[in-house]
Amino acid sequence: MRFRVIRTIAAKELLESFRDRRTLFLMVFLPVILYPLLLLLVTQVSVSQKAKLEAKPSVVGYTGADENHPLMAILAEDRQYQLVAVDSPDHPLDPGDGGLDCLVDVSGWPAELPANSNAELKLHYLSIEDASRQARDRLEGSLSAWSDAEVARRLEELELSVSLVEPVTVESLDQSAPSQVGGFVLGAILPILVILTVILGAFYPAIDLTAGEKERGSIQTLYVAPISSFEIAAGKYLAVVSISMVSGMANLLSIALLFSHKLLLGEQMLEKVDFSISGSTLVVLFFTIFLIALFFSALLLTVAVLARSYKEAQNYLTPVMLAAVVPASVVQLPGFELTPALALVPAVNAMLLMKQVLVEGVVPQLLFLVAASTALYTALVLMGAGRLFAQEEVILGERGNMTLLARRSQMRPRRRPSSGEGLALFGVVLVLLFYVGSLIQAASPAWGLAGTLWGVVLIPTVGLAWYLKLDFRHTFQVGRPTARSMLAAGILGICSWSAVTFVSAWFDRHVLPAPPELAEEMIRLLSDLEQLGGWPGLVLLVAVSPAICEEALCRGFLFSGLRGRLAPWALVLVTGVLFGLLHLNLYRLVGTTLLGVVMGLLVYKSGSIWTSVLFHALNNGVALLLLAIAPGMLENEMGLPLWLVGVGLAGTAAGLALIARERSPWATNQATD
Amino acid sequence: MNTPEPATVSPSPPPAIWLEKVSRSYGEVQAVRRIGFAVYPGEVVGLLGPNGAGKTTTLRMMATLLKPDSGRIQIAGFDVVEQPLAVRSALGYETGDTGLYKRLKPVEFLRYFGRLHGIEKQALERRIAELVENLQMVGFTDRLCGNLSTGQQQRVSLARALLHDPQVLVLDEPTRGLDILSSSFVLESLKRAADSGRAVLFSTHIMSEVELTCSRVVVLHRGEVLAEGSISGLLERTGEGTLSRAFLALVSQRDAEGDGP
Ligand SMILES: Nc1ncnc2c1ncn2[C@@H]1O[C@H](COP(=O)(O)OP(=O)(O)OP(=O)(O)O)[C@@H](O)[C@H]1O
Ligand SMILES: [Mg+2]
Repeated sequence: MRFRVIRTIAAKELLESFRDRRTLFLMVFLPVILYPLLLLLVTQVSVSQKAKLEAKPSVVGYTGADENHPLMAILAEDRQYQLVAVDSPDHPLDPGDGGLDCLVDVSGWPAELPANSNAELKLHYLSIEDASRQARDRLEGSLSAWSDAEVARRLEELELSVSLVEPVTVESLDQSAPSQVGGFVLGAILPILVILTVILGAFYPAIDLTAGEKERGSIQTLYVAPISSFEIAAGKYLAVVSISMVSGMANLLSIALLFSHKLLLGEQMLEKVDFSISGSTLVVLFFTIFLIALFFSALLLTVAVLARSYKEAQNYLTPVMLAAVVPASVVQLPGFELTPALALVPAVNAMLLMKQVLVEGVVPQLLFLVAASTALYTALVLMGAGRLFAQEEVILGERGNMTLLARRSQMRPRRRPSSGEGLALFGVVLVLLFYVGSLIQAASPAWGLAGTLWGVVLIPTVGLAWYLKLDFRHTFQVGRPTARSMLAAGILGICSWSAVTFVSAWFDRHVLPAPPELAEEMIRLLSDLEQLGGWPGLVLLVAVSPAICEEALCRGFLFSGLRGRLAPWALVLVTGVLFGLLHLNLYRLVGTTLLGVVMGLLVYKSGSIWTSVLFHALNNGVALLLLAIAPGMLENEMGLPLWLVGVGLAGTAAGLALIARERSPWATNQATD
Repeated sequence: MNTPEPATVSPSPPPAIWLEKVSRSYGEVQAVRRIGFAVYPGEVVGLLGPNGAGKTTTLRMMATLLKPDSGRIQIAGFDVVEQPLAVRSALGYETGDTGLYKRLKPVEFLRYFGRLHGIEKQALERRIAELVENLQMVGFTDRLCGNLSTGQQQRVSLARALLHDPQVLVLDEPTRGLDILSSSFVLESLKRAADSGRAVLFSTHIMSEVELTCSRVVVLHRGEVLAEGSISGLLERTGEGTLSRAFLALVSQRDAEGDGP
């Protein structure tokens, strides 16, 4: 890596970007002018709307009494109300435009109320209408004032003090400084706005510098210069980071300016809330933006390299961008605060840091943790990008193959899927699981599970392999394994629950405690399963079916698609993590990912899917068995004798040692075959 | 029967381009099959072959853009797989696909690649001025590359390939899309480069260019070397009068053999 080269590349990319009106538009116009303007507009409209509403009297219909009723007399004096007599409590409400905002049914409130009795008032309103809610709030205020006065009067008649019924008076005093309130409000809007700008800023250059360059053909020119692919990746990355950072900071600055000049809110509001951002806060915010830009630029650039054309890249990056908005909005939920554990979660950590800085100020240790972990993730992603830039596909980019969209009759038979096809299939299955799978499992846990595995996982997988005319032997790697690798798979399948439970129990205790409903849900599933015809049906459904269906997808289609595109360790890790994700359960993610990694290792070392099918079936079978013996395990109590756990761990070690000694058939020539 | 005859060049200098048993496939398509030949300093060699013969694939492997599945390629003594950066420093590679940056001006474009090649600043400016002069680019150095005509773009592209004064020039159809003036100009430039001791290899479909420029030709067909040698040698071997006819004869003879039982 020569910094001189990286700088040269970055400078050239920036120069080219600045000559492009689209970049300038995204970088300057949107964040500096359009977003703040929109914000201003929205706030002003809603403020003036609210003021208009407050100025208008509420139209209150009443029935069950005449205007001489004591309540009516009070309301009639109050300028907040405009009373209308109606003949029935069913009179329709039509809030807002002169119709009834709400209706009071006074029939339960006799005009002459005896001193010791309780009147009843029915208040009809529409919770979905602002005007109606406002009328309700006003009425409730008036009524409670009346009620307080009435209590005082009655007590006085009895010559008693009010403190008899009100032993304590509560007065809440907000001690937050105006700047803290302002920070709180800003903490809710700024992160999402700034993150959007940072990502949007990186979005276009990330595509332009990779897929765009492929499409224009100039990438070959760059590759015949005496520079390494890592230098190319680093130079382009530097350019993308700069652009996205500039747009993020420009956005932040223009918003900060807007707020500090009191353009946004009415004067009374500003007495209680101080929106100005101090210089030191601004510096920390800039640093946060820098972190966010670092991470997302790396992510977007890496994804964009995979695409062969501009269009394709947009299709890939849009979901990434939407995915980034999810943590940004979650972060705004009250109660989400930066903790040491969350400081290690990429993307989320920087967003939480931004919120924390605005509301409470900086906690240096956490700032450091966020910075260090972001730097680490960015480095990892960039290493991936460097590898991707070294791939021949980058240079051969002009042969765009959108095979998935072609007609079957036009396809050539192939040995195995491409990485894109593998990932696309995985994505589709994931979405299907989410919508169809959870729907049919809600209808019937047992049959739903069977339908999900065979219908949602296996059929699309096999169907796509058929449609693409793939060779089933290579795509699903159904070669014959060695006896030793099958032995290792068997031992591991029986024993590795011990290690996995251990790790997930730790995770559960220290990082992300699973809610108790989870365990109950599983027990409910089990009781339902027994209707399937007892143990044989149970084993078939919980052990054998997943072993076949999930393996065909994860260690078959997906694995063969990614094999050769990734280094062996990355292949095993990525398929493992994706397998974990497939279970759509955050609380079981660590355990399932661990299992996925072991299975990936088995298949990589043995060259055969049968090892992971065996492992998967045995592992699930053993889990079923343990559940029957010791249901406490579900709550991670490990309600099992210690010796059994010891035997399990020893067996796991032995199995791993056995498989480690296998020699992968793909170890020598991964790129070819 | 048709292993290429060994090049009949005096023991003299080591080859600037040297291929041995090189194969490469794309998935199931075998694009190049165990080919081998050499190009020496001072030579202009033409790479001929029908569409899909494997010319672009071969040239891309020389330029380190693609890795051979097997076999060895050396450029100026460097191995393309082991020492790709040294190869790229020694090589000027140009094709219709080595596009320009449309939002840069020709001089900015050349400066950029000069820096990537590590050429020192003043030397670079001198070299660029020289190329602008020699390749007659004076009229359009201030316009953006995206607004240039095909021929003008081709000159900028050629200037880029010549920029670092490489010992070896490899060009894929350098005259594609050019008018007769521009193409003869490009060919002249190649000849001049060879006269000053560089090795030049280029592919083309235009036989007259080859007759004009090349001292030797290599004929590829279906990924194999069909013939190699001087033009007169080829004419003699096929008994034809022109290079075009000799080329056709070679290819159709081979097709007949291939299609037979
Ligand atoms: N990226 C690729 N993917 C798959 N097959 C390819 C790819 N590039 C080339 N081929 C195939 O390899 C063979 C050789 O192609 P190549 O481009 O080297 O031929 P060529 O001699 O340059 O042809 P032309 O004269 O048409 O330029 C052809 O059959 C072609 O279809
Ligand atoms: Mg070609």
